[in-house]
Amino acid sequence: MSPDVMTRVVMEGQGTFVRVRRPAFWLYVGLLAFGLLYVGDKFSGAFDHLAGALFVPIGLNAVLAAVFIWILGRMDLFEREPAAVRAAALLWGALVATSIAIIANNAMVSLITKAYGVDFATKWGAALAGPINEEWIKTLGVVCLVLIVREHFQRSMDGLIYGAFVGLGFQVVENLSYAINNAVSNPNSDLSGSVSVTLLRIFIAGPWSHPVYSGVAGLGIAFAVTQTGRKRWVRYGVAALCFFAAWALHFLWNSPLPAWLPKGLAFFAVYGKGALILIFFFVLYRISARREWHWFIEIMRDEPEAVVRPEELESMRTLRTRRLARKKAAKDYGLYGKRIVRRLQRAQVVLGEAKARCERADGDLATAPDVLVGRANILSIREELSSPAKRRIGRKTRKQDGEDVGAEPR
Amino acid sequence: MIEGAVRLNRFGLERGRLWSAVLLALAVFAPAVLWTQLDSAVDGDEGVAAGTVITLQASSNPGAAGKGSAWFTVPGDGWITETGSNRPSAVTLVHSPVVVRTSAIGGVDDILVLFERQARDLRMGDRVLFETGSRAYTTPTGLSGYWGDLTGERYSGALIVVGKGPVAAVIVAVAPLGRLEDQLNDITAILATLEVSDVA
Repeated sequence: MSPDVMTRVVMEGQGTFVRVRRPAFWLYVGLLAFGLLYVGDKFSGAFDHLAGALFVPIGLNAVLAAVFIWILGRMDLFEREPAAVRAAALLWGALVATSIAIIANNAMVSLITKAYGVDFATKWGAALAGPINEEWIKTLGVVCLVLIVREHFQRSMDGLIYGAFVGLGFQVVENLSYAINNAVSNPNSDLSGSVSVTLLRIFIAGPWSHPVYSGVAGLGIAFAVTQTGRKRWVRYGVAALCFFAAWALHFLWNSPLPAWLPKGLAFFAVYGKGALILIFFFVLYRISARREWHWFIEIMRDEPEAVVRPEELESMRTLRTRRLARKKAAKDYGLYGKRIVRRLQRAQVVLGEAKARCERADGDLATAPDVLVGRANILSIREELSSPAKRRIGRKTRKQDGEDVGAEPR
Repeated sequence: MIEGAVRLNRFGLERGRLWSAVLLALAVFAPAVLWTQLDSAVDGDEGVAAGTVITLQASSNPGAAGKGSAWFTVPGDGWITETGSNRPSAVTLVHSPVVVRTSAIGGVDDILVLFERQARDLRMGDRVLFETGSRAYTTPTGLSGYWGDLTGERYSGALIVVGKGPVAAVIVAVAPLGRLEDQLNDITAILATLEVSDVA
């Protein structure tokens, strides 16, 4: 029987992440089940015995996760990735990547110990096993998302965000596994062991850990799949470079400090390594954010000034420039003006997303309902800003009302 | 909500996308399969000559700082070590059928608390062992602590936790049920040379 005979065509509507006809979706579900069973098996026994000692680490890691989720939401300047896909990325990191990494890391460290001895394995085991296994499996999480929901990867920034979510899930579960191990291995107290290692991991490794490495690798994957106008070797070359960079950052962090380093400098050396990692990440982020902004200008180019003004486009560039625009509105129109400008900025981002969606679907921008609604929202917000009935008294409005407000503040 | 026409294969899945998923599955499991196979292919068992002095560095845990060392002499011939599971603070020695894992631990506040915690860890372990009776014990070298009998479904053993000041040595000896008694001499011979120091 020829394949064509077997072909069926169906019309289906599906949610943001669930794609029941995509094989990769079922692979994801299967791997998630595997990870849940494996991590559950590892953790459940410990929870039976150590529950009291794990509440604090769980709480601290929940705060860490919340802070990272907030930061990543802020970094995503022009398109908030769907919550379902972000959650899927987080779960890959938390369950799939950790479970397979535990198996691979244990075996690799055992092999290194057999081959090169205890001293070498103690110094270099984590520096080799961590990056090699963990970065590979976490990066495949982003690849899996591409295979399931390619439509949610529009620009390199999307990969950075999804990669960072994979890394965040990994970091939280890894932190909890350290808390369990140290609760057990502490000679005196479960609580002392679990809390001290959690604080150590959050405050010393927290800011430059897995979300950063996986964000870099994810950016490369997204570059490869979205920059279709470029030559193939450039796309895949960038993806490979980003993966190597993620590996190198992880290796740098896990590698031991040189033996000749005075103990007093160890603290600075550790934070120096972390600072290097963060600087590299933010340089990549800035490049990526700049490209996002150019994309935004491009997509909003044909909008009338009533929808977006040139100075507003300029102010949308970064979080800082947006904040400055809001501060200016606060000065001119009071607190109310600041809130209105915040809503205006959000509405303009939403319109940009709607236009991008419409273009991807080869829709008509003049008639697409979400584009029309986006424009209408912006117009009504702008109207609100200039409405005398609702505006609060700021310097500009008071001046317009004929009040003497004195000289311009410097 | 995404809507669209999907072309299906014989499994009811989208056409042309099966192989990428299969490759992804292989890639995901590749590191685990590769390293476990290589690890099991490399024989990590190494003979240890009689009279070899094994020195362990007492590990310092976050929240329980304190360094030191422990050392003992391998008693007689026929001992091997499982190098893959050795750490600076722990060594596994096998004198068939008994397996002896010795660890050095720093920052110990109370040796009884450590003994009870070690007994609990053995109950939580993959090979569940229950501590069924304990007594105070002092090694011939003057280290004091506790000796506990271990019993499991198919294994029995002994848990010995002894130390001096903030440094302790933990010995877990495990053998198939009913076989440990014959090997007790091995354990007492190790204990006869076991010493600890709070100097790393």
